[in-house]
Amino acid sequence: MSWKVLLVDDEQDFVSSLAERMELRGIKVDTAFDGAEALEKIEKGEPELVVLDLLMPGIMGLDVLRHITSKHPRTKVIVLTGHGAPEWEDEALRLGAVSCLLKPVKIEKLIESMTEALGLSESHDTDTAH
Amino acid sequence: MIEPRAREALFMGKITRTITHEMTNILAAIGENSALIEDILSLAGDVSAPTQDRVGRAFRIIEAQINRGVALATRLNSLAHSTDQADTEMDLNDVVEQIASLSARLARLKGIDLKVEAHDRPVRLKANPLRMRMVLFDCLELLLEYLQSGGTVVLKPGERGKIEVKVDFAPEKPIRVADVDVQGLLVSPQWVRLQEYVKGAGGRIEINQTSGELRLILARGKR
Repeated sequence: MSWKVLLVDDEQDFVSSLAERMELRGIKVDTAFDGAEALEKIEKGEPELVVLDLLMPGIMGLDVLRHITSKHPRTKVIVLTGHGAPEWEDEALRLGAVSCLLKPVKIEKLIESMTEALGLSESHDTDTAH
Repeated sequence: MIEPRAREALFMGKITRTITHEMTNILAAIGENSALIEDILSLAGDVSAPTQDRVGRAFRIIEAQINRGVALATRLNSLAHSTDQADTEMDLNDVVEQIASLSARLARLKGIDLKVEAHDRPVRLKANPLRMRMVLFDCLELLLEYLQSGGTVVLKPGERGKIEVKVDFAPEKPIRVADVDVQGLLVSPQWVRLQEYVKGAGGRIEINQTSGELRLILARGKR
């Protein structure tokens, strides 16, 4: 796959293994463990897609989302969060997130949402791991 | 000014919301790392098929337990949100599902099968969300105390002009709501508490010992 994903979540044990699983399926992944790091990486190399947690220390997910939609409108955002802030999820969709998913999510479902967000067919190269 | 009891409920609600969110994160990390091990094993060429099967079964169990934990944490998180809400419109189906899920262990310890038969459409109700859940929980607690082991309780949100929760129980052993003597003393404390809650919510309770039905009739709902 030629597109690049940025996973943003302060739960490092979660995001590192999710990144590794995506890489096993041929997806290019970068990670950021807080909002500030995410903004820095987005500025350096605009990813096609960001998978974004909402509740993080420092710069919150909604602020990262606002920055992306105003400065990088071509970058798609999928929110992946734990429960506890349904009003934030509504706000994220209003701000331009493509979809909101709840943790834990099956990787197949996440990849399906990612391909939909990017307007791609689902016949991507995911045959490395099942 | 907020009453001390209400402040306590707010405190518990806030702590519970935070911790259940954290629990979900923990379960998600366990799930993701478990799935990663499974991915790596599936790519390793030197693992025998029987070993793959055994490992696969273990992963299915981990996944099922994670799903169980997430479902409980989600229900508990939702309950915790109810502590800081005033009268709110809700779907009685959701409330009953939530309380049944959180009470499942209590029922299991008593050997009672607890089920929900949700209404086929939303049953709208405007009420204090915490009080509504307490009423339902007390109703369940009362039933679980008096019902025989091996019985079944089916919670059915209903709508017949008024909001109803119908509870079917095995009629072999009637619900003993009170050991009433001629002076009307010795009434079960659970029953008294339940009556108080329900009366406070503008409703009433009807028990039909013969058919094995208890109806918790609450205020008129929105259609």
